[in-house]
Amino acid sequence: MIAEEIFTTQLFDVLNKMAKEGFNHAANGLEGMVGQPLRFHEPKTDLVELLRLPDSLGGLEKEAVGIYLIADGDFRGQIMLILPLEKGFEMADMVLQREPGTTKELNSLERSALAEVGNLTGSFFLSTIERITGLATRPSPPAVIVDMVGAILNIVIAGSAMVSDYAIMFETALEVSGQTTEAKFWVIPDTEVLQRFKERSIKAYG
Amino acid sequence: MGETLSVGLGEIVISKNSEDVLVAYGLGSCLGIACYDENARIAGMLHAVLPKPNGNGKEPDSRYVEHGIPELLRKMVEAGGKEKDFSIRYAGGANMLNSPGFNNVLNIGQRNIEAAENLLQPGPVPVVGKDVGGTIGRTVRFYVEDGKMTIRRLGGEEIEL
Repeated sequence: MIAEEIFTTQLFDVLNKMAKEGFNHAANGLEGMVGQPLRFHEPKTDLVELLRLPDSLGGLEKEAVGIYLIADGDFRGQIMLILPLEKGFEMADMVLQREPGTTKELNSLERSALAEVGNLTGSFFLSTIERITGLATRPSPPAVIVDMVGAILNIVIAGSAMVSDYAIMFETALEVSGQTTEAKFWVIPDTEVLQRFKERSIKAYG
Repeated sequence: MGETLSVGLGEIVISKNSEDVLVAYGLGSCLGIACYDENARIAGMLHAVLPKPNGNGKEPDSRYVEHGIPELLRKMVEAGGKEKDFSIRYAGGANMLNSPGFNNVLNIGQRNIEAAENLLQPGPVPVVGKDVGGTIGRTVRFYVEDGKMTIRRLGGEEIEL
């Protein structure tokens, strides 16, 4: 399946709307966890070759934190929330309501907090997909990986068995109490469900 | 003047310039497989991603360990090397996901290692060093000058294999 045939301008418009809705829902969910007003900035949607994904994160050897989920059901795919390690520290501070600069490493508490950000965001995003397309899907528990970008990328490439060459990348930022941290979501849909996902989501948004 | 030559996913890079260094950055479950001809001073590195193709892929594709190793040896010979002078070092194959529920992804590193062992152990080219498995990614450097391989793990010192 050729990516250009599937990822038309029309599908991008739909993905943009879906992402905006999904992140808004996720923000509502995270507010409950953090106990403070919180929002995601409007996401920018892009289609990126899997092998080019590290470019936007400073290269394959750059240290990063990835929060990884697998979606299974009528919509199947992989979701990776990824951010440079120092941004992971910032996000942990925000979610744990600490002074900025407090987190210096990711121990079990910080990892749990980040896992929950990935879990909530992924779950709300998937529930938006389900509501709009009718494609039932459920996320796996999240895994938090701290490693080089290349090693984290290996996970999604291995997970797609090299059937998918592209990822949908949503760039956004999480804002809590005036503090902002940029984050990227990679969504790698299973190629077998892409056509159905496209038809249903375009129909839903008219 | 030597260069640092990045070996990307699924690529094979060969060099005869003794000042060059071949590098596979951020290997997770992938394998960096390096071959050296000590007489001709030719070095080659393969960055393999998966053990073998699903289905009926017959075309040689160096993204796969099973295709990439023979292709690496072929390219070394094509560059003027002799198989009797070859030696191999390889590294990578980490298990990147310890969490439950990810068995499918979790096995890739181990399956890559097994695919390499199956191909290399009974073969004529000796394996003179390997650093495989574990749960942390590695950057692997391979020096054309003397066939030395170094490994750097996240937050760690560079060590010679």
